[in-house]
Amino acid sequence: MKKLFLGIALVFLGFFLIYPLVWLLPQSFIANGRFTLKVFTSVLSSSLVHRCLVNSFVLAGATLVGTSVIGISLAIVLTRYRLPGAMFYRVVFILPMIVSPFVGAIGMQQILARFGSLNLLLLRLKLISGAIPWMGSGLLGIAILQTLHLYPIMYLNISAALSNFDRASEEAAASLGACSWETFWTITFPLLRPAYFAACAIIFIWSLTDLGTPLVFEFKYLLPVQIFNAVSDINVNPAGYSLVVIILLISAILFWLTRRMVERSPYTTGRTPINNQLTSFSRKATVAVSLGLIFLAGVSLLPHLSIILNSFSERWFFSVLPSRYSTRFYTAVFRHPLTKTGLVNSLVYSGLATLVDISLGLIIGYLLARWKFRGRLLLDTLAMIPLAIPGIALAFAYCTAFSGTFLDPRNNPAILLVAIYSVRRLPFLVRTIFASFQQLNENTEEVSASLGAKPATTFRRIVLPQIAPGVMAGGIMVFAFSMMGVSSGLVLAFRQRHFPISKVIYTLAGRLTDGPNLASALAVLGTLLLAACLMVATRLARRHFREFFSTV
Amino acid sequence: MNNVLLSLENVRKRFEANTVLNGISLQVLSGEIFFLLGPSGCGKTTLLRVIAGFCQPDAGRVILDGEDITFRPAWERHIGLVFQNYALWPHLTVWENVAYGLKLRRLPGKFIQERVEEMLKITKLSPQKNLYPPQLSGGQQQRVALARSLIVRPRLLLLDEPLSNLDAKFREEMRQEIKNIQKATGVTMVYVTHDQREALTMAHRLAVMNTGEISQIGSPWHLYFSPENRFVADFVGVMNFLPGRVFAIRAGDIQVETPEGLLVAEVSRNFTVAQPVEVAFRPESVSFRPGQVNIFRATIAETEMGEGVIKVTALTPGGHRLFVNCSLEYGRRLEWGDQIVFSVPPNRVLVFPG
Repeated sequence: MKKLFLGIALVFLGFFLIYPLVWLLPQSFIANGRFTLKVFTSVLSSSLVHRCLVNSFVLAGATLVGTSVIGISLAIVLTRYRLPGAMFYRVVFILPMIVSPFVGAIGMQQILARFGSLNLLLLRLKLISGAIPWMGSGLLGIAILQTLHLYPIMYLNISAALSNFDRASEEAAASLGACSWETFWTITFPLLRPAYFAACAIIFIWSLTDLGTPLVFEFKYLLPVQIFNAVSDINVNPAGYSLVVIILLISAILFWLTRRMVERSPYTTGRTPINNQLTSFSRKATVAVSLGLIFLAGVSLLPHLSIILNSFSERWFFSVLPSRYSTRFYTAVFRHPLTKTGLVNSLVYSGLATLVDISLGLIIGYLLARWKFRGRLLLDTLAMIPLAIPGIALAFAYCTAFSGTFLDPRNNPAILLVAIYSVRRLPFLVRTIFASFQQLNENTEEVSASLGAKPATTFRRIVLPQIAPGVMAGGIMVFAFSMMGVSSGLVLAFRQRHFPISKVIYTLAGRLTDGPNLASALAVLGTLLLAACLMVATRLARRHFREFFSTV
Repeated sequence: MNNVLLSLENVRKRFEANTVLNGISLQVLSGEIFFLLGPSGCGKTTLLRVIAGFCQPDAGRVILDGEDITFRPAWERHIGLVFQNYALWPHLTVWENVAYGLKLRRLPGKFIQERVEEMLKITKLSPQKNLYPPQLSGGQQQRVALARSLIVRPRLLLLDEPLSNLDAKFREEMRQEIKNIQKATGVTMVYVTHDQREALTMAHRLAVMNTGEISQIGSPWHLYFSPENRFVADFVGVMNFLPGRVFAIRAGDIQVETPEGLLVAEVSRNFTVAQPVEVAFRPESVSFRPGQVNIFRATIAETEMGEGVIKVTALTPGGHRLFVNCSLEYGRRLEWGDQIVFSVPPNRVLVFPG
């Protein structure tokens, strides 16, 4: 049975992960049956590609700087200092993560455009005399949106590291004469480095491969947009392959570096902090910091607010706020053929992806936790590889590798969309289920067998009830993130009747008249669904641990 | 009690380069409490898992009630199992945990109800039947684990260090409890432990294991007073050892020259003159009445109150540290630095090849 399970897992991962990625390589490095770097170098020497590479790195770098400054400052303030409303801030500063910047971009255009709300407000207040191009060439706007979306990753990582951090080590430095700044650079930061670099890798790759936001901003000169455009002419232009290979290489290097950094770090998380008392600000500083936090929270939630306003706005033209409100776009979401199709398709794709992931997660998690076999490391690595594969790269690989086959996304992308959603979220479910199995005392299964239960009965009656909350929590997360997945849907869905929500939002956002409003209403509903799913999943996971594993 | 229920024949098991079971053969009789006693890592838990069916031996046979079950899956063996950590199912109540095995067998509801109630009564768990495992004390959890395994009337019950998670006082109570339950149900038990006290007080018979092999099998009395090798002598109880050399061999006994003088031992084993040996005797084998042979003179280095005895650590003129037990009455007069004289009867002196 275990061998059958292993076979199923390997076939799935082999077919939907390894095959498409491996298929890319010959297209980039083999011409006329021979290995060559010509294709690669000619693509790289193109001025367009060169410009895109520079822009992409500048964007990712700027986002990294922005998220580092905001995330680290927030983490220090909220984990080290006593502040009124700290709990509120902790929740508020995680919220921006929920809404994709691609969705936020639709709302932000209304605010940051040349004659958007911000310029109109400033003009009305006579603070400026002419409209300021806030979004610049578009790159700045994208960087701002990505920063506002991604800083919670930095904040959460650094907060987690700081809460496991024994402040006695800082006090020891202080006792030796180090000032706060010196202590931070010589003691605190080096110890936080693994957590920081882990966050950096995620943020950098995310920013580098984000497709949705530049598309909404209609900014063409970035790698993901070029890859997206290359999908339509893959048979005549090899540039797409090379660009995907570049992105894959960067991702692989960054993940490898992060892993090395974490492995080589002498610092281990989970150390019991022995002296982590909160410090109080002076009254003036408390007011100043609180104002700063409120401002940041306001700016962070601006894309969300603007999208909500947009979804209710009957008329919003040359005015700071909508001049007329309506709820009709919410009812239209369920009537409009495109939004209806998008909703149904996304529910089907995400539902199926969740089922696939739960099944595969159970199989792989079980095999890794309960079976010592040759190739265990290989299976573990295969299941984790999707973490380092950007969605756009895999979607491009699917497009090309399965082109002309019965899975060709141009005919019907349903199977590939289900597969890509499953593959990309699989690591989360495998890790969740693996952890559940590890927490589950193996003896409980053996006792069941000793009482006469066959493996299937033991699994159904003993194992499943105990790991179910974890599996469900993981499943809900897969469902939610698949529902709001962006790049896969944008690249793989060609015909309207196959569009998932993301592509419907993108299509509607580009239409005149009520398109953006409808897109906003759909985005708000999607975001609410995502938030609800996250809440349920968090609750389930928490109850799961408290109820079952606290005392046994 | 005389029928052989379980028979292990030359069972071998390796984990990569490590030989964990090296040709184990033993028999467990019907209705007895049989102990597998040995230090950590000696292979006793692996042997238990081989019997239970969770570990396949590389060679050898496991025979239960005359039937070869070596390759039979665990769920078809009808062998109960109680783990050190109890392995209770936290999502099921006490009642549901205990009833699980009967439900699997699709027995009538009324029958299950009666049997569970009866088992809960035997294990004194009736008041807790609706509680979940995390709401129980360690002892109660332990009894649930026992009840859950016993209710299906297994052909054999395996217990893997079931008392090691309990505190010392409660362990004493549970030892008696398990013995009572065994008496009430008549189930044959194979009990794994590294606690020699537990083994000596509960076992009908026991096997001492060392590095994957059986060192000796016998009754607690037999193993305690007639250990067949130095390992058993040292592992089971406290033993005094003195190095020596065979001085003379006579009919029925031998004389051994030791740093503490010439010692006489009644032995049945064959030795040769001048063979290096180790002489051993238990602390409780000594006598403070004047003896003819095996007389020791020593200085008290330490006294300690034991259960009904005073444990004395004494230093011989030859520099050997000896442990001797004396009565409370005699021992309470002893003080550090006092000289004591004691002897050991030749029939209580053991000799092992050196």
